Amino acid sequence: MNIKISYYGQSRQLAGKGDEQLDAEDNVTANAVLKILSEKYGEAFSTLVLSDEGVLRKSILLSVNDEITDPNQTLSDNDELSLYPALSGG
Amino acid sequence: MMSCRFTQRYQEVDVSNKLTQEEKATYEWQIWEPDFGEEGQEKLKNSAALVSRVGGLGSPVAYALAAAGIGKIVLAHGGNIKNSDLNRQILMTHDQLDKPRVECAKRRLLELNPALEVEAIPENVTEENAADLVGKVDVVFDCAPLFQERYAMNKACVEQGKPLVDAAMYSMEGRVTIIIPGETPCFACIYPEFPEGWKREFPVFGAVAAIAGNIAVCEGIKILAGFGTILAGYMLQYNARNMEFKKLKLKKNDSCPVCGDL
Ligand SMILES: [Zn+2]
Repeated sequence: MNIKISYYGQSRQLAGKGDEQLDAEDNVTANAVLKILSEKYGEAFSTLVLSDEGVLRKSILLSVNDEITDPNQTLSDNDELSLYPALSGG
Repeated sequence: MMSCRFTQRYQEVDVSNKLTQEEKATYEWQIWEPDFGEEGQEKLKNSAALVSRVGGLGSPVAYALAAAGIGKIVLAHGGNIKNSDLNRQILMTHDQLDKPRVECAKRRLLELNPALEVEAIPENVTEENAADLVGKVDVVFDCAPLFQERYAMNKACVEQGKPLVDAAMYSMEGRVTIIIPGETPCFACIYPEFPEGWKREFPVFGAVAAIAGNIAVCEGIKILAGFGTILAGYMLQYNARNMEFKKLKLKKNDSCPVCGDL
């Protein structure tokens, strides 16, 4: 099935793009998709997004179809997963 | 109506200072706003706001508050002006390079609004001074770069029941949310953990920061004057790269160490 991923904040910079489509297995969880992306984009991306236990860090908001959710959520075809790492000022 | 729950003014302000004829003339165009009127202007005049750092976010915040006729602004920002501040910290001027940021910001605010009371504190927010700073004001604008400052400010606002307008930016993006202690998720509910690998210097344009700053002031005016619907419990996220604006509903953490008992 097809999953759309949208990157915000630092995740956009580390992925080098704002969004993309991913072909994923049926009933995949959001966290499993994040693991696939972490392998694809390497250490800096992985460190930003995943904890040492391989779970989405709590400094990042995750939404599916613009609803904030937790990484255990099972995804459906054409779902849009978005990552919003905490931002600050300066 | 649920949507009205947050539209009441959060902190009662003693509106003992009435508007002068000159103030009625100065603020005429916003007094024409029917939801605001002279009553709203009087509430602003009798209100005080804390702006934590007058950088890319805090400069437009303080400037717009001064223009709107708020009575008092407390500025908290340490350090001296650097060249690399000037693309976004719009209260800083080139002739004041290497001089204290808060003093330059104060001068610029008073040029715009000589009736404004400005308390310029040459320190950033810390766990030690946050409660004191928050205690001076009716509403707080968090525009700080360090997450330690944001967590400290959040805790002080939750403890004192003060509304917190949280603004943030990065690259071509920005975010604003309102924290009403006991009613909305707090900053520690939204981001329970310190972000790993956060770099305090990052790409951004002044114009992108100013969007968040001016949205924050719109929210602050509504909180103080008591009208409209504010971003309480919602995160406004904008992406100036494609002008996508969205509102995300935030979740409270019932076991939040900061606000879980409220
Ligand atoms: Zn909380």
